[in-house]
Amino acid sequence: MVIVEDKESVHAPPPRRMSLARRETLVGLAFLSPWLIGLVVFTAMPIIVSLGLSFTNFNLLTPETLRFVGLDNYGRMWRELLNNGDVGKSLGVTARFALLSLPLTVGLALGLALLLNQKLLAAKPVFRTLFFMPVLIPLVASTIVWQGFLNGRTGWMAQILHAFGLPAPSWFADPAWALPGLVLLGIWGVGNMMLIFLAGLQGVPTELYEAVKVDGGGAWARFRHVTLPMISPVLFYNILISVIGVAQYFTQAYVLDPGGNGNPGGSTLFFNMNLYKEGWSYNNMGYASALAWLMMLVVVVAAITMFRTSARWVFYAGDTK
Amino acid sequence: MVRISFTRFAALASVAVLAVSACGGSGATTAPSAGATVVTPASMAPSIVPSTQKPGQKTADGHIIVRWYVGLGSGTNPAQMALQATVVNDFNALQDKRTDGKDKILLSLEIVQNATATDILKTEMASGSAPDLIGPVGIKGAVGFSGQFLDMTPLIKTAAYDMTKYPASLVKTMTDVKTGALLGIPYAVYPSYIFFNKDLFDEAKLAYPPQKVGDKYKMPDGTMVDWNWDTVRKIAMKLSVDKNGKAADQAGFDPTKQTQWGFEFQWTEGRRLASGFGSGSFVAADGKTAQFPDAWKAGWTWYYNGIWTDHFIANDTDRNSDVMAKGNSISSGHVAMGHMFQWYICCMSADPTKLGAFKKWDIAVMPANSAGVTTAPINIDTFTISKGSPVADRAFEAMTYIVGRLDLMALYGGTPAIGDQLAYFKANVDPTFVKQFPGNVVNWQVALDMEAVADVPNHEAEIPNYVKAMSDYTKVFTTLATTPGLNLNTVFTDTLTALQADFSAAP
Repeated sequence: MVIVEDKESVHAPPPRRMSLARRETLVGLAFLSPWLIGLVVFTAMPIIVSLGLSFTNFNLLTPETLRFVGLDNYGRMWRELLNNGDVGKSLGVTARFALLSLPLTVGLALGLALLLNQKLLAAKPVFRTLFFMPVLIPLVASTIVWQGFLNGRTGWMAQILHAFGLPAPSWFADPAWALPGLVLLGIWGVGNMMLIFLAGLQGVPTELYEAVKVDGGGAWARFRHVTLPMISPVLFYNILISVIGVAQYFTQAYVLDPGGNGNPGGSTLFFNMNLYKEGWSYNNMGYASALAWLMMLVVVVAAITMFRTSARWVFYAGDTK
Repeated sequence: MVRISFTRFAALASVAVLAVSACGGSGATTAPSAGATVVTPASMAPSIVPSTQKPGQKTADGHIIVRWYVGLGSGTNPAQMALQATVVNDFNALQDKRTDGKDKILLSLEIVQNATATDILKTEMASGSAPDLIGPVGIKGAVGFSGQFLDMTPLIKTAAYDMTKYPASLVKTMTDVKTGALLGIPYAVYPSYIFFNKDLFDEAKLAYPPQKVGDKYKMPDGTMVDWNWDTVRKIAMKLSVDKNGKAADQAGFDPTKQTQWGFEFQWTEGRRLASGFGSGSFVAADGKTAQFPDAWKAGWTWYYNGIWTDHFIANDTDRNSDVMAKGNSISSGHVAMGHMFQWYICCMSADPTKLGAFKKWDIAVMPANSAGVTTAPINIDTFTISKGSPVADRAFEAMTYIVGRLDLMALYGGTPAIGDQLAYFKANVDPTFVKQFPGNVVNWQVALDMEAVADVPNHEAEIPNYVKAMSDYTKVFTTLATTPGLNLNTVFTDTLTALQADFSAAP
C-alpha cells in the first residue's frame, strides 16, 4: 500500500472561516437589500440631489441652462419671507393650520382612546374598527367626499346645522372657514393615533390606579398623575408625528384647488402647495428645492426642540435620570 | 436601561427618517419635490410599446417608434382612449403594408390623466425622453411648454402639406408670438355659444334666444329687444327661481333657497369669460405693458353682479353643490342658459335617474356687448412635435394620419377646421346625442356662425410670463365667485399691478 501525500493540502493554511455573526450580518443585509437599494436610490439620492439643486437655477424645461447660483434661491426665499410674499403667506397658513389642528387631533385621539379603554364599554372591537376605518380611505377620495359633506348649500353638515336653526358656513368657498374645514377633515382620520394611544393606555399598570384610589384620588387625579405620565412617551411620539404630518400637508389642499393658488383667497396656500407651484407650474426646480430644505430645517428645529424639552414632560418608566 | 436607550434610539431614528421625508417627499401626503420620480401610469394607458422607450428607438423588426402623448387636453375618457387605441392599431396596420422603402413606423400611445399630464411631460422632457407627438392640446396647454415644440414649417414644406386649406386666422393662432415658429396645424375648433334648456324656457313661458347674429329677442311683454348681455341679464333673472317659486326679479325672492339659476359660464376662467364681452388681451401692443380692457372689466362686473346682486349666476358654494351637479352645472338641469364651448358636449348628461335631468335643449348665438359687437371665444386644438424628437418627420407623418380621422375628432368634441362642417356635425356629432336626447334637434349652424365672430386675438394667446401671470389673474378671478362685497375697481387695479409685475419679470 502506497500512501500518496498531498503536500499542498498538508502545508496550506486552513481556509479562513467567516464567523457566524459576520455571516448572519451578510445574510441579513442581503435580505434587506431590496429596501436598502430603494432607500438609497429613491430617497437618499434625490434628497442629496435636491440639496445640490437648491444652489442652482435648474429649470425643468430648460435643463441645459443649469448653472450654480450660490445662495440666490435662499436669498429670494428670505426676501419673500420678509415681504410677506408666497413663502411668508404659505408658512403662515401652515402655522395657523398647525395651531388649530394639532391640539384638536391629539386631544380627540386621546379622548377616544380613553373611552375605548373603559372597562364598561361594550363592543369595543366594533368601535375600534369604526374609528379606524377612515384611515383606510385614500386621502383624495375622502377629501372629495368631505367637499360634498361640507358644501354650504346641500352638504350634510349644512343640513344638520340648519335643522338646529344655525347658519351653515360655506367652508371650502370661504377664506375664513376653509382651514377649519380641513381641520375637520383631519379629525376624521385620527384613528391611527387613537390606536397608538390605546396601546399606550393598555400598558399602564393597574396597581398605580389602585394606589391613587387608596390615596383618595378621583378620576381626574388618576388621569393627571398616572395616565398622562405613563403614556407621555406615546403622547410625545404622536405629537412629533403630527408636527411632521402638518409640515408635509399637501394632498387635501391640492384636491381642493388643483390650480395651486390655495383658494379660496389663498387661505389654503400651504407651504407645500407653494413649493409644488414653484417647481411644477413655474418650472423653478432650483428654488423649489431650496423651499424643500427650508421646510426640512423647520421640521428638524421643531423635532430638536421637542427632544430637548422632553426631559421635563416625558416620563420613561425605569429612567434613572 | 437598555430598553430605554433603544426606545430613544428608535424615536430618534423615526424623526430622522420622517424629517428627511419632509424634504424628500415620497409619501402620498407630500408634494412632489425636485427629486421626486414620476412614473407614467402605464396601467391606464393602452400602450402598444412601453412608454419608457427612448426617442428614435427601433423595434427588433426595424419599425421606428413614434411616441404619441395624450393627456394635455381631450383624449382621456374611456371612449376616447379606446378609439385612440383603434386609431393607433389602424395606423400600424397600414404601416405593415407600406412599400415605399421607408422604415415602417410603430405608433406608440401614451395616455396620461389630464391632472398630471403636464407634470409628467415636463419630467420626460427634463430627462431627455420626451415623446415625439403631443396632442391634442389647446393653445393654453401648449404655451406652458414655451420653447419645447418644433417649428413645423420645414416639415410642412418637405411633406408638401397643403396649408392653404386652413383659414389664415386659425394658422396665426398656432404661431409662436416670440419666434414666429408654427407650432402645429389647426386641428379641431371649439366655438362657444349660448346653451339653453328648452324645458325651463317653456316652463317660464319665455321665448327662446335667437340663433342668428343680429336677430332680436322677444321679451314677455312682446317688445323686441337687442340680444345683448343686458337682455340676457333680464331673462336670466326671470329664470332664476327659489324654493317658493319666486323669480329673482320678484319681491320676496330668497337667494339662500335658490333651486334654479338663469345663467352659468360652464367651466370658465378669467380671460375666457371676459372675451365673450369683446376681444382683448391683458398685454398691450408693445408686448410688455399690462392692461385691463374695458370690455373685459364689463364682463367681470356682469359676472360678479350676476352672482351677488341679481342672483342669476351661482356662487362657488352653490356651483359645487349637488343641485348643480358639483360644477357640471349645465348638465344638472337647474341652469336655463350657459356659455359653453363645443368641447362641453363630452359631458352633457340626460340620465333621467339623475337629479335635474333635462330633455330638450338647443344653442343660441352669443349676446352683443354694449357697443353692439358680438364676440365668441374660441378654443383650438392642435398636435405638436417635441423639439428634440429625432424622428420629427415620422411623427409629422403619423400626425397627418391622426388629424384625418374625423371619428376621433367627433369624440374629442371638436369641429374640423376645414371642410363641410355642417355635414360633419350631422354625420358625426348628432348620432352621439340620439341615445342621450332622443328627438332633440340642435341647430349646429349656430356653432359654425360663431366661428365667424371668434375672438381676435384669441383669449388664450400668449402673454409674458404666461404661467405666473395666468396664475395671478386666476387667483383674483376666483374670488369673484366666493366673496361678496368686493370693490371691483380695487380688484381691477390689483390685477393690473400683479400682471405688470409678472410681465416685468418675464425672462
